[in-house]
Amino acid sequence: MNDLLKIENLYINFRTLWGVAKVLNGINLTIKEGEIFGLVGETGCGKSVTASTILRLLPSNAEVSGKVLFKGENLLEKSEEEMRKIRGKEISIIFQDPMTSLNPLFKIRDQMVDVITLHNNLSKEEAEKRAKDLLEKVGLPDPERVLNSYPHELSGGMRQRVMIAMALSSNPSLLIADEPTTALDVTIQKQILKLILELKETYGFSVLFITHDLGVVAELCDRVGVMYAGNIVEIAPTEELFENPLHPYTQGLLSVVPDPRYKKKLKPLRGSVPSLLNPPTGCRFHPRCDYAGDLCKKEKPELIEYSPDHFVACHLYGGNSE
Amino acid sequence: MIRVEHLKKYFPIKHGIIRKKTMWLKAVDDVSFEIQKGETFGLVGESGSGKSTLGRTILRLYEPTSGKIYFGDVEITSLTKAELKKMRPKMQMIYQDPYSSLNPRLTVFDIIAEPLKEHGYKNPKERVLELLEAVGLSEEHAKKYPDELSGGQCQRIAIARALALNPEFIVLDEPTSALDVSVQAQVLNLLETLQKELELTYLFISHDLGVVRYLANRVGVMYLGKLVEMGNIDQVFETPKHPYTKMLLDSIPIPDPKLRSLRLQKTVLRGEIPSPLNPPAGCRFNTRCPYAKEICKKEEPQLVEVEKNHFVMCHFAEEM
Amino acid sequence: MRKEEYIKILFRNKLSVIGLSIILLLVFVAIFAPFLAPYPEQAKGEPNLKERLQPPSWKHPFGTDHMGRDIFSRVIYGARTSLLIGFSVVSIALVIGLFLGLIAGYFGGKFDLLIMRITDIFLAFPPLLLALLIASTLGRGLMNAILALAISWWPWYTRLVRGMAISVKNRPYVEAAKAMGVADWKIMIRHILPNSVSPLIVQATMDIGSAILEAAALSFLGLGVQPPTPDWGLMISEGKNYFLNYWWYPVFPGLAIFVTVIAFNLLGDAIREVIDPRLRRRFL
Repeated sequence: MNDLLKIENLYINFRTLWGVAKVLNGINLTIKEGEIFGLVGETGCGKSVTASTILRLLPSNAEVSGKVLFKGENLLEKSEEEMRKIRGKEISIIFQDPMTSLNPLFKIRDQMVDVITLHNNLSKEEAEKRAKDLLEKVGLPDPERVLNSYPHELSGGMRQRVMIAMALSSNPSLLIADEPTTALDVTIQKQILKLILELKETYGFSVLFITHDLGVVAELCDRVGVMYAGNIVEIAPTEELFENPLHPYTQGLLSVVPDPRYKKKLKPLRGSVPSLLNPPTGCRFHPRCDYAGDLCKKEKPELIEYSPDHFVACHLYGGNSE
Repeated sequence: MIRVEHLKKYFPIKHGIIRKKTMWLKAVDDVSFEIQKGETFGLVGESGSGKSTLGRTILRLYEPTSGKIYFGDVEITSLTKAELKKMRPKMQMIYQDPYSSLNPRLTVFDIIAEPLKEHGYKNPKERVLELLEAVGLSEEHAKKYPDELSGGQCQRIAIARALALNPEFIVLDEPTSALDVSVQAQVLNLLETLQKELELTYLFISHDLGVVRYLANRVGVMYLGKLVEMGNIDQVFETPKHPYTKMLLDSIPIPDPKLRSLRLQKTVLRGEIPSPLNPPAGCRFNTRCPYAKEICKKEEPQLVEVEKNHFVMCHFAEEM
Repeated sequence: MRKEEYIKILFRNKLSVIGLSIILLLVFVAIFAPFLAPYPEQAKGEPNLKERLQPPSWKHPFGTDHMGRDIFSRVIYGARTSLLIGFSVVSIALVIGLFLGLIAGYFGGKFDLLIMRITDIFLAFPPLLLALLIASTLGRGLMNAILALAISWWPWYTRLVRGMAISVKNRPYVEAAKAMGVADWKIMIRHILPNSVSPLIVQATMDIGSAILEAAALSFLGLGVQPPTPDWGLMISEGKNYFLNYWWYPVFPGLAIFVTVIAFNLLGDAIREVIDPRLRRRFL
């Protein structure tokens, strides 16, 4: 499988009123064609910023360095016009709250036709037919009724399906899903996850699935990247990550996820997520790490391949510049 | 300690401009159960289940439409406002969003001191510091404002406030849903420790079954205002009898990738959750139930005890 | 840390700094008027008929009026009257508006209905017209002008406060207070009130300027402040007859009003900047 998306040494700073927030601290990740890549992390780890960077939708106070290679081309070097051709067509995104991604003043019909005709050369009738087709494919049994509705007339699950339909309308190669099921009930979430998997099998696109829910990652993703405070700390195939977590943060995270199958003893990590205005030196995790040594305070560990396809950024496993 | 009998909470929704019709939102529709002293009763359900409304109604933050609530020997539902005020210190509540449950214009000290001052403490400083320590914070947090603190810290303050007057019963409405998973673990551990030390009784409302499994002794499952299954946590989670409970348990993402191919293959619950304004006739779950028969569409099932202390509301409870 | 942040935000915008400076200057002038005005007696009304209607000069920077009085001094003293009116009107209207708005918003039901209907009646009148009506009923004079303006102003605040109170009363921390058994009036003052005032502060600041303007209109029409009190509106009124040949008479007081109103508007904008980011949570 080829690499679809390759992020190299991405650093992002935000100039804010209170100082410079060092939001991304040199991240590296690769998404292959046709795979579902899960990006996991807690609040402030930078996963949503990563998504925004891929689409070049960062605020004006952002300073960016590094490369974002999509099909071999660096997206950071493209002009705004070139990016507009990519957004929604080659790379699509669905968000957490479909209520705010859909305009409450317009019917679904208008919004979908808008999106479809933007990226494809179709007449209005053809676009409508395409819209109906897509709505059926995402599991909505009565497309005509949905097209005639306003967003608030549909349930959360239905709105999210509409969003997925719109995102897939131009056959993107990469679908970015930013916490798409966090706001949904758990039974509806299952439907949406199954839908995403089925659509991926049918159309062959890759998915960058951003979430904080390790259970969802276990069920859906082929490979997982774990983020902490602006760094990628571990990347591995899903089964390998859960069975053999290397990074202390990953281990900590897995030990605090409650499991409905039994009363699990939760051993929480001490401390809390650091401020990005003044992050810890060296490895950003060292203040909370039981294994931290002197090197950890001084040098940031690099992401190295410790075992086949299993990457980790931690001095316990090498990761020095030597 | 808490006994709820045939509790109903209906909200009137005014409808229409010219001919004003009143529709009733049956948030809680005839619910009866008990909570033993010192235990944690988990209440689970999805949106529209009525679990949050039930929690608030038990504390009489909403006035019940009908039914009775007993706190120990006292029937809370028949108390006057003044008598209720005296009971208030014994029953407290903790909310989902840590930031909006604290007044952003007050310091942490004032927030925790409020219940103390309200019920007669002239000099609350010592008690406030005591409470801060009990939840794992320190004196330096007392001068701060909520927006200067993290979500986990704010939730601890909410807990400190709830503990101020030595309550016996606490309703926790999704207390960790808005927190990161590592912070959630810290708060859950704190809640567990406090329960043991102070002999508290919890009503723990959540949609996250993993979290409920961690804290609860018994659990009740709600769907559209009805309590469809209730029992020991191990009983209900390992041998669920109600079709909804089964589907719910099947839908939760389990953090174990080895089970993946099995789980995604399992029947996905079809359909959307109906609106509580217009619940289906007969058994509320019949529109989505894979086992629904004719009787389910016409008649509402009763709560049946299928094994010791394990109750199910289904026409075919025995066969499940 | 918080106070430093506010000051940073306040001074971030050049315009807001200008507004703030002008108002501080105004207050300074009003307080120290007797020391700043070269001819305090004339300012208070003593005529100087020998020097009637003289154009601006070193002796009289703004010229003199039809009674020979130094306009510069009168404008300085006028600051006192204007600021007094502005602050009084807004303060009285705020008190009434807060009281009624909180009750209507928090209790709802019959209280809300009654208070809002009364508010609507007042709001149906064009504001200046209402003030005129009341002023002409009450009679002339500074106090009556203030009363008239305050009465025509409070409905706007009531509406603002009511809206905020309704959204605040449903917040969890209010419910938590109820769960502690806190009395309603305490909840209103401790929880609802402080969290409802933000839009009010911005509006009230800008309204000080507007109140000054409307008071000037009243004086211009003969109601409100009476001669010989130094008041900008009154000066324009008296000066309008002399405008063609003696332009300085109404122009300088007019400029004073103009600058003052702009300054309060700029300050209101600046305060809005401070209040908004503060409500946002700190960046992680």
